[in-house]
Amino acid sequence: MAFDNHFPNSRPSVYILGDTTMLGQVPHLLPSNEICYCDKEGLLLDDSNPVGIIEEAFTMSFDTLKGSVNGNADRDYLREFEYYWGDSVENFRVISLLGDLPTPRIVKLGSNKNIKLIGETEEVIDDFYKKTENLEEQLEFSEVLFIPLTNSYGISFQEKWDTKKLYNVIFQNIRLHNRILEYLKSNPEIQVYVTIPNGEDNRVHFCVEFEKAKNGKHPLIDKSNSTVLREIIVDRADVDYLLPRGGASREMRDKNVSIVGCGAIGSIVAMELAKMGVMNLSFIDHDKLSRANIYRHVLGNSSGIGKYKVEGLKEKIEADLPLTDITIYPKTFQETVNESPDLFASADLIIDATGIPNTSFQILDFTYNQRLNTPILHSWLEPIGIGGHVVTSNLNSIGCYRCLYSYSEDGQFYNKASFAAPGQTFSKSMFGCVNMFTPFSSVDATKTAILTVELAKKLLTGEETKSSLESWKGESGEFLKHGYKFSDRYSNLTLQELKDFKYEFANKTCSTCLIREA
Amino acid sequence: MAELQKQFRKFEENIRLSDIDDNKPLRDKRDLLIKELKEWGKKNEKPGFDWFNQGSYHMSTGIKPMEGDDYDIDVAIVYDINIDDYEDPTEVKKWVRDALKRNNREVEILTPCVRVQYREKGEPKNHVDFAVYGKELNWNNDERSKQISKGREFSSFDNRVWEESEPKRLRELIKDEMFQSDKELGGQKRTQFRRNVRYLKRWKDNNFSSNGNQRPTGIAMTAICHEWFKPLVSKDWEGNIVEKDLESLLNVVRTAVANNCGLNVKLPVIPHNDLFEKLKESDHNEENYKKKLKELKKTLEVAWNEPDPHEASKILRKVFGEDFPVPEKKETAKKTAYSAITTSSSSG
Repeated sequence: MAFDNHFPNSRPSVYILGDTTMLGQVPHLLPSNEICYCDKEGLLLDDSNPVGIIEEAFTMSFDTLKGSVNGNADRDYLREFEYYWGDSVENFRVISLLGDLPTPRIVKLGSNKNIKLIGETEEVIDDFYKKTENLEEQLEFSEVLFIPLTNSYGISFQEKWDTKKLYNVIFQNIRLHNRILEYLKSNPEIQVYVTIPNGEDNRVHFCVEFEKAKNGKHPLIDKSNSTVLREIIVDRADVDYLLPRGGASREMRDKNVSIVGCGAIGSIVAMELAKMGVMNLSFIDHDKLSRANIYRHVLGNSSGIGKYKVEGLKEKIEADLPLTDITIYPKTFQETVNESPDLFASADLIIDATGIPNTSFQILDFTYNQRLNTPILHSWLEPIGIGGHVVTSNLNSIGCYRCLYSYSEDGQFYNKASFAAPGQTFSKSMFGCVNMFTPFSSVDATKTAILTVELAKKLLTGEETKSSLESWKGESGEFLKHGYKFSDRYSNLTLQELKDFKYEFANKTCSTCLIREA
Repeated sequence: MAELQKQFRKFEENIRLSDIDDNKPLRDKRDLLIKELKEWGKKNEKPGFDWFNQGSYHMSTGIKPMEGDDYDIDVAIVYDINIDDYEDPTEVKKWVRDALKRNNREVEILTPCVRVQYREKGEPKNHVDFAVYGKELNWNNDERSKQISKGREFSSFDNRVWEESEPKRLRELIKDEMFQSDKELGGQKRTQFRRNVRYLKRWKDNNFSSNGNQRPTGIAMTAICHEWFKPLVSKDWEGNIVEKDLESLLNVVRTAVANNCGLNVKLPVIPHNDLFEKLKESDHNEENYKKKLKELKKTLEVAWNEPDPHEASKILRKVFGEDFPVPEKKETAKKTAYSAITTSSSSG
C-alpha cells in the first residue's frame, strides 16, 4: 500500500507485489499492478479514522480482485477501456469530431505536425481547426475506415492487442463483414476507427494505425503475419460526447437564439446559452468594448478595447466552444432589421438584454408587425444592486413587456415591475465623480443573467409556455443610503410572493396584447 | 361594481375620533377629574388606584359624535383593594362620587359606573364614565381578577355586586386571536376591522335617535364585527395592498342579518353580558333595529352593483350620512397631466 503526502485526505494506492501471472490479466488490475478498488472522484474519507481507511482499502481491493476473477470481465474492461488503451510510453492522440454514427463509412483525417483531427468531412475538420488553432499551417487529408460495432463480445486485455485480436473483436461484432473485408483489401494502407457500445447509452471510441502493409495486404487481414498495433487515444470533441456532460439537453442543439444587446447581461447570457448547448446564436449590438466596461463584461481587456462587443463575443465563444455557430450584427437593432428583415425568421427565442425600454418596445413592435410568434425574453437590471427582472412577450397567454408600463398617480410613465419608486433618476453623474461609482456591479448583472438563462431554457424546452415576470431581490442598504425610495413591489412583496404573482402581471388593457389576442 | 375603497377610507378619516386631535375638551375634563379623585383619596386616606381608558378609546374604534349627541369617554378606575374587604361594592363608587361632587357638577352613581355629566343650555353635551374596579386576590395575595362594582347606591342588596370583568381583554382578543401574524398583513387586517366597526357605529348614530334605548350601543357593533368580520385585504403583483372595505362590511351585515340581526351577540369576554339587553326591552325598538339593518344590507348591495362611483357614493350617503364623500362625475373629473419623458432607471 502506498500513501501520498495528503493521506488521510487522499486514498492509499494498493499494488500487488511480485508475480501476478497466476491471476492472469483481469479488469481493475492496471499494467503497473495497481488495483483500482474505487474511483478517485466523489470520495469522502473520514480523516479522523486513518486506520479505518487502510483496513477498508485492503478489504475493497481484495473484493475487487475476487469480483474481477469471477465476474463479467468484458463489461468491466469496457468501462475502464481508457486505462488499458494507449501506448504507455508514447501518447498517440487524435481529436475526433465524430459522434456515435450508426453505420460503417469512410471518414477524414486532417493532420499536420501539430494536430490530428478526425471528422466526417474535410469542411467540418477545417472549420473546427480554424476556430480553435490560430495556425496558418494547412492540414493534409487522408481517409479512415469508421467501424461501429453492434456488440462487444471478446473485449479483454489479458494480453496486448495485435492485429489478430483486433480482427476477432471487429468481425465478431459486425454485420457487414464482406463490405469491410472488400474495403480493406482494396485500401491496404487505411487506418481504422472503431466504436464499441458500452451498454450505458454510450460508446467507447478508439483508433488504430498499422505497420506498413506487406505483400499489398492490409495488416488486419494478413493472417500470415500478426503484428503489433499502434494504439491511438481518441479525444472526443463531438456533440454526442461533450454536451450531456455540461448538463445540456440534446434538444438545445438545434435551437436558434437571437440576442439583442450584448452588454453585461447579454454577454453572460450568450456564453451560458452556448455552454448549455445552443449551437446557433446571433448577436445584435452596435456598441464597442470600452475600458469602462471591463469590470462588468464577459470580455475583458485582452479581448481588445474598441472592438465591437458582438465580434469579441463571437471570437471568445467560438474559441472556447468551437461547435457553436454564431452570426453577428454590429449595428443598432433598427439598422439591423432594416437591412435584414428576416433576422428573426429562424429564431426560436429572442433575448432582449438591451435594458433600454424604447428598444424593447421596438423589438416587440417589430415581431408584431412581422406577424412573428417568436417568444421574446426581456431582461433588465435595477440600479445599485436592488434587483433584476425578466419578462416574456409573444407567448400564448396575455402578458407582454408593454403590459408593465403605466402612469403613476402623479402622471409619471413608469415600469410597474420596478423595485425603485417612480420619479427617481439614477445615473453615474449622480454619484459625483465620473465613472467613480457604477450603479450596478458585475454580480448584479450575473444574477439577472442567471434568471434569464434559466427562463430561456424553460422556454426552449417547452417547460414554460405562459408569459411570466420573474425578479430577484437584492439588498436594500446601499440604495437607502443614497436616499432613494423603493416601490411597493420591493417593499411589500416577499420572494415567495414575487414568485406566486409571476403570471399575474398582464394588463387587460394593453394595446399590444389586445391586438395579438384578436 | 364601482371602485369605492378611496371613498370608504375618506369616510373613515372623516368620522374617526383621533386621540391626538379630537375630543380635547373632554379629555381635559377627564384628566382634571382624575387629579381631583387622587387628591381627595390622599386627603381622606383612601386606597390608591390605577386608571386607563376603556371602551372605544382603548379599542381605537372611536368616532366623532353626531351634531347634538351626548358623547362620552370611558375610564376604568382600579382601586388597590381586596374586594373581600368591601362587602358593599357601592361603597367604593361612593368615594368617586363624593370626591368629584361639586355644587355645579352633576355626578351620579349608575349601575355600571359613576357618571359626570356636562350640559349645554340644559341639554346633555358630554360625559365621563368611571367604571370602578376592585381586585380579587388569590391565596398568595396576587391579583386573580378585576371585579367591577355594579349597582346603584339604593339598589337592593342583591343588585349591588362585584362582577368579574376584563376591560383590557377585548382589545387583546382582537389583536392576538384574530390576526396573529403581522407578516400576513395582520396590521392591515386589524385596521380594516376597526374601520368596519366605525362604519357600523356611524350607521347606528345616523339612523337611530339617541333618545330612550332605540339606538344600539357601540360595543354591540364591535361585538357583531368581532363575531362575523372576515378580513378582505390582499396584495397584488405590484405590491399594492388591496383593501375591500365595502365587501367586508357587506359580509358582516349579511351574516348578522342571517343570524337574528346579531341580537343574540354577547360580549366576547367576561362577563359575556347581553349587549342588546336594553334595546330588546321594547318590541318596537327591536323591530325598528332589524328593519334598518336589513335596509343597510340592501343599500350596500345596491351600491356594490352600481358601476359608477359617483352614483354608488350617493346611495351610500343615505345610510352613512353626509360624511360619506361623493366623488366628482367621471366626465367632470380633472385629468392628470401625463409625463412623456421619464429619465431611465434601469440598465442592460
